[in-house]
Order: sequence, then structure tokens, then C-alpha cells
Amino acid sequence: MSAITARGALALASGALLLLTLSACVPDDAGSGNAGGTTDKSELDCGLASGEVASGDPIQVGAIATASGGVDFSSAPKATAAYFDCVNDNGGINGRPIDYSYQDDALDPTKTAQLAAGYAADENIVGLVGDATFIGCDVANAEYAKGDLYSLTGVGVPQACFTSSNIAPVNAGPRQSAIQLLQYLEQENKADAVFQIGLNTQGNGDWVAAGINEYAEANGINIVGTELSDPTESNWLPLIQKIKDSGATSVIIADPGPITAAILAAVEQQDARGDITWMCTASCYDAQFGSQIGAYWEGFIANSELQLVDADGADNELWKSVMDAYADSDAPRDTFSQAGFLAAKMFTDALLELDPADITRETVSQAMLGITNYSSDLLCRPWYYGESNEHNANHSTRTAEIKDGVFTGLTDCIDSGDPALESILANEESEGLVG
Amino acid sequence: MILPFVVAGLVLGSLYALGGVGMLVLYRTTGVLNFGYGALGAVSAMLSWQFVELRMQPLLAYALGIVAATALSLIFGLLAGPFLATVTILTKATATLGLALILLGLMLFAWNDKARTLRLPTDTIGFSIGTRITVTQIICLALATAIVVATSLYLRHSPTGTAMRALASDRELSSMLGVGVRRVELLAWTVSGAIGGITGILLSSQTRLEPVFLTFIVIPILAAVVVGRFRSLWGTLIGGLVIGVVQAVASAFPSTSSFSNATPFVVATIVILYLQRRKVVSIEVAR
Repeated sequence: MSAITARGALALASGALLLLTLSACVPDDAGSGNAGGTTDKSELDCGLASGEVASGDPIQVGAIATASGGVDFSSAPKATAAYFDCVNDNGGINGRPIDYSYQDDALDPTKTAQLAAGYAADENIVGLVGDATFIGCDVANAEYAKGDLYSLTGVGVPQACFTSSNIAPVNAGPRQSAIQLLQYLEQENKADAVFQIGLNTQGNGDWVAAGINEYAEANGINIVGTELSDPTESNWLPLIQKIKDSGATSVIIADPGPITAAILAAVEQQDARGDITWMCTASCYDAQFGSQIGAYWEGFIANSELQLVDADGADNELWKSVMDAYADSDAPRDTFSQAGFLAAKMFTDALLELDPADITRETVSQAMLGITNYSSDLLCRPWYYGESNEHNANHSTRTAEIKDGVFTGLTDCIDSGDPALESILANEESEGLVG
Repeated sequence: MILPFVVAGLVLGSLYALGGVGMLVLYRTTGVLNFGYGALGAVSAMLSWQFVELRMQPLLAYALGIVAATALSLIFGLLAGPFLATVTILTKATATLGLALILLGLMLFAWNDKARTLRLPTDTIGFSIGTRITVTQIICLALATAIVVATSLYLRHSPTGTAMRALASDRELSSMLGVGVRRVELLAWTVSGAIGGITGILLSSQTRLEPVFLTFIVIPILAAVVVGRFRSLWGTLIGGLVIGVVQAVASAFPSTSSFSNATPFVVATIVILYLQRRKVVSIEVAR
């Protein structure tokens, strides 16, 4: 009996081997929108750009990111780390290197609170840069406020990340991203009947949906349907039926990338794309998305909260080259990575103004709060920190569409018309934070 | 109007049933209710995706994914089998939760949370009869039915099948009668793993290609097995189809739509209650 099993196993193994040797590989036809940088490691313009390795007393900087638990936002702190490494190889902060590390909150708000309390209590930590926590902005901010610690956050997603005193994200957030899609439709005269799709998550999906509704109401746009689904939903037929029945001319999807891809696959299976303009928020703007959803979705539109990854421009080029020189080759080159990089760059530029002998949490916090009118080709409009209980400096974004499986630029910057930004705009004006 | 929902429900239900048959073959032979079954399918689907991304021939990639799930199942059976043989059914099932968590952890470590789709070549070929039906969907339905038929024929007529059924009714007795218990059990782990791999790939093309989602799809699969009363292959097939169709049709109407995801539990509970009813009666009679 056992001989039969052994013979069977042998046959299976040799069969598999035969298949492997016979298999010709499919030709690589998909281009990637992920071009690398062109600057040599020795030519990189990081910090002082002196080319000398900083050897002074290290400056300790931390960050909290959600890297595991089903969501991976670590591409922001990875880019932050890459830029700081580059700064340290180029004179550091007037001779002092930055000692940077980030911790994973594993999608657990209790852990975020613990990590935040740990940072706040550790006086050696002068500031936080490139954070990207998916869940813990509210609990973290409470700890930071107690310790007078400030975070120059790379990526924020839920509402709490944009309504905190000690947290200021570089990205625009899903609400601005969704509203700007609506504004794009308005510009193109396609905003006749808009259907919106999102998540029924508190402090996130509901906040985004409210943003679309508020903007639509203020501007006389007809929202013909709203579907906020459970994050575990997998049956998209009812949704497709509702979209058909609603007579929608455009559909805005504000779901995470994987869910958006599943919805689009279901629409393709039903061949229900029709003449509808389909678009999604920045969560699906990444190099891989186009090839994943396939040729059926040529012309699919997405918002991008920062410069398109393959665009020209000094900072975008520096980002790509720094990533090539200092980050792992498999570290994502996406919007979040750009955000982490830009957070590190703004932080470095602010600290270079300080007396290197007097770098404490107090002086660093003042320097961070003092960042105003910071221009970069990664941004549409200048970024600032400023003292406030809400931070959403990035509220102007770009739109891209899929051409030959790759996202390419569709429109230049659109300034957000979110009615809820009123107080932020007033604050910008009165405090002179931009321009 | 309701036809697309029935078709989608039949397809998804046939996949629940397919997975259920794989779980049932293992359970009946070894007494192990494998909660890691969804994770095995997820590994198969994720690896297939990875191989396709590496520009491998799709068919070969799917085959390798299925081989991987089979191998994982066999290795777990090989390593844990002797220990599991001596413990209670509940402990066996709990041990497989460990398998699920380990596989899920490895998958989340290996793959980031970006969007992925497993595009089968048969997805784009289809026809319309009031609703669009793709060849993949027909394959799902046909495969589920074929595997149920093949498995029940095999169990009934082949010597190994007889040995499996013997193990299911009395393990020690069949061992004394000369059944190679260990060999038959390992065969069950292998077959179950292979069916799990196939189910994972088809489910990922019909639902979502995400490790967490696919790992937890073991719940409706388990519900189908419950409907089959942990015994009947045909009961499992019918259970899977009923769960799939009820779930999809419930989602068609706004008033029931938000409850559609509870279908596996509702159907399983009704079946359990029905079985309990008969037991209660027998106790009454005994008194």
C-alpha cells in the first residue's frame, strides 16, 4: 500500500517538474508608473548636502505607524527613515545625526495610546515625524498634548487625524479627496447624477460621505444614491443594481483599494460599466492598481493627494533618488511614501534653523509649529503647521486616469470647496500661514 | 430582476459546498474539523496571484497554488495528526485554529494591503440569459457538483473509500481489522487540502482576494457542513447552495439586505434546532 503512495507522490512531483520546465513565461507587457530616480547617491541634496557623515550627539525622533493587523501604512515612515539617513550622510542637523525609528500599533488603538504615552514620557524624543496610524489619532493626540510633543504626520485617514492640536498630516485625507472628485465632475459638466460608495465606519466613512453631501448641497449637485457598506461585504450585486436603478452618470468610490478592486471586478463581470464615469479617492492611486483591475477599466479616474509618483519636479526627483539610495528596493513608491519623505524634509529644514546645542523638545516643537508657507512640487499649495485645534493644510489635489494600465495626469490642482474648511481657511488668512 | 441574485447565489453557494465537502472528508476520516480551511484556500489564492504576477503561465500558477495548499495540509496532518488522534473533537478543532492564525500571520507578513485581483481567463468569456453568466461561474457550479459526485462514488466503491468510512465509524476497530489508519488519514489531509486550494482560488475570483477575508470564509463553509449534519456530502452541497442563494436573494431587497450576511448562521441555527427537536422527542419517549 505504501509503495503505491510513494509512487503516486513521485509521479506528482515529476509531473510538476515537467510542467515547470515546459512552462514558458508570459511576456512582460505591463509598464509600471514607478520610475526610479536619476540622481547619484553622492549628489543627493539632503539637508546641508555637505557629503560628510554627521557624528555628533544623536537627536531622537520617533513615529507611530500601522504596519500590521491587515493594514500596512509603513511606507510613510520608511520614506522618512530614508530621508533622515540621507541627511545623516550629509552633515546631519549641523553635525548632529537624527536617530529615527517608528513603532507599529498593529491596528490596535490601545497599543497606539501606549506607544503615544511612551513617546510623550520619554524626554529624549524631541518630535514625531512621518507617522501613519490608521486608527489612533484621537488617543495619541491626548497623550501628545499632555507631553507638549508634536507630530509632523505623514498620513492621516480618519477625521481625528485632521482635528487634533498636536498632529498635522502632510496628506489631504479621504474627505478632501472625495470632494475634489466631485469638483472635477462639476468642472467637466458630468455632475448631473452622482452615486457615492463608501464604508459605514464611524469617524471615517461617515465623515467622507457627509463631506460629499455637504458639498453637493451647497453647490446644487444631485446625489442620486449613497451606499455605505460593511468592511467585510463581498456581494456587490445589490450595489450594481442600485447604481443601475439610480440612473447615475458618475460613481465616486471612497473605499480602501482592495474593496474598490473587488467592486470593479464585480461590475466587469456584469458588464455594467455603461457610460458612467467611475472614479475613486486617493486610496486606490498606486502603481499596481491599474494592472490589477485590467483593461476593462481603461480611463478609470482616481484622485491623488500629492504629486503623481512619476512626475518631474525637484522634490519628486529627490524623493525617488533617496528611496533608491536609502530604502529597500521593495519599499512602496506611493503617495504615502512621498508624504513621509516630505514630512522628514520639512522637519529637517526647520531644525537646521536651530542652534545645534539647544535642540530640545521645547525648541523643536516651536520650530515645527513655526513651519509656514512651505512650498514643494509634491504639494499643490504651501504647507504649514501652526497652532490650531485642526490641521488640514493640504486641501488641494490632483486627478489621474488610467491609460494603458498606468495612472497618468488628468487635471492639475483643484482647491477643495469643502464647506467644513471655512475655519481652516480663515485661520490661514488671519495667521498668515500661506502666501 | 431577481435572476442575477439567484445565479450569483448559486455560484457562491457551490463554492461554500465545495469547501464544505473538503472539510467533511477530513472530518469524517480523522475527526478533525479544520478551522484553518479558509486560510489554506487563502494561501493557495495568494500564491497563485504571486506566481501570475511573476509572469508565470496562469494555469501553472493555479496548479502550484493548489499544490501548496495540499502540501501544507499534508504537512500539518503529518506533524499534528498523531497528537490529534488521541484528543477530543473540540481540542482537535481548536488546534486547527492555530493553523489558521499561523497561516494568516504569514500571509499578512508576506503581502501588503494593496489591491489585488485574481483574473481567471474564463472571467471575460460569458453569455447573457437575462443576466450575464461567465464561464468561471459555470466552472464553479460544475466543479462543485462533480467533486461531490466523485467523492461519494469514491467513498462508496473504492477500497480506500471503504477504509475511510470504516475509520469514520470506528477508528480502533478498523485499525484492528487491518486498515492502514495513518495512511488513510494522510490521504484525507491531502484530498482535503487540494479541494481547499481549488476553493480558495475560485472564491477569490468571485469575492475578494484578501488573506483575512478568505480566512474567515470558513464560517459559511462550516455552516454548509452543519447543514450536511457533519455526515452527508449531498446535504453539504444542498446546504451550501441554500446558504448562497438565500444570502444573495436577501441582499436584493432593501428591507432584508442588511441581514443577508447573517444567512450562514440563520440557516445553520435552523438546522441545529431542527435536529435538537428530534433529540428532545427521543428523550421524551425514553422517559
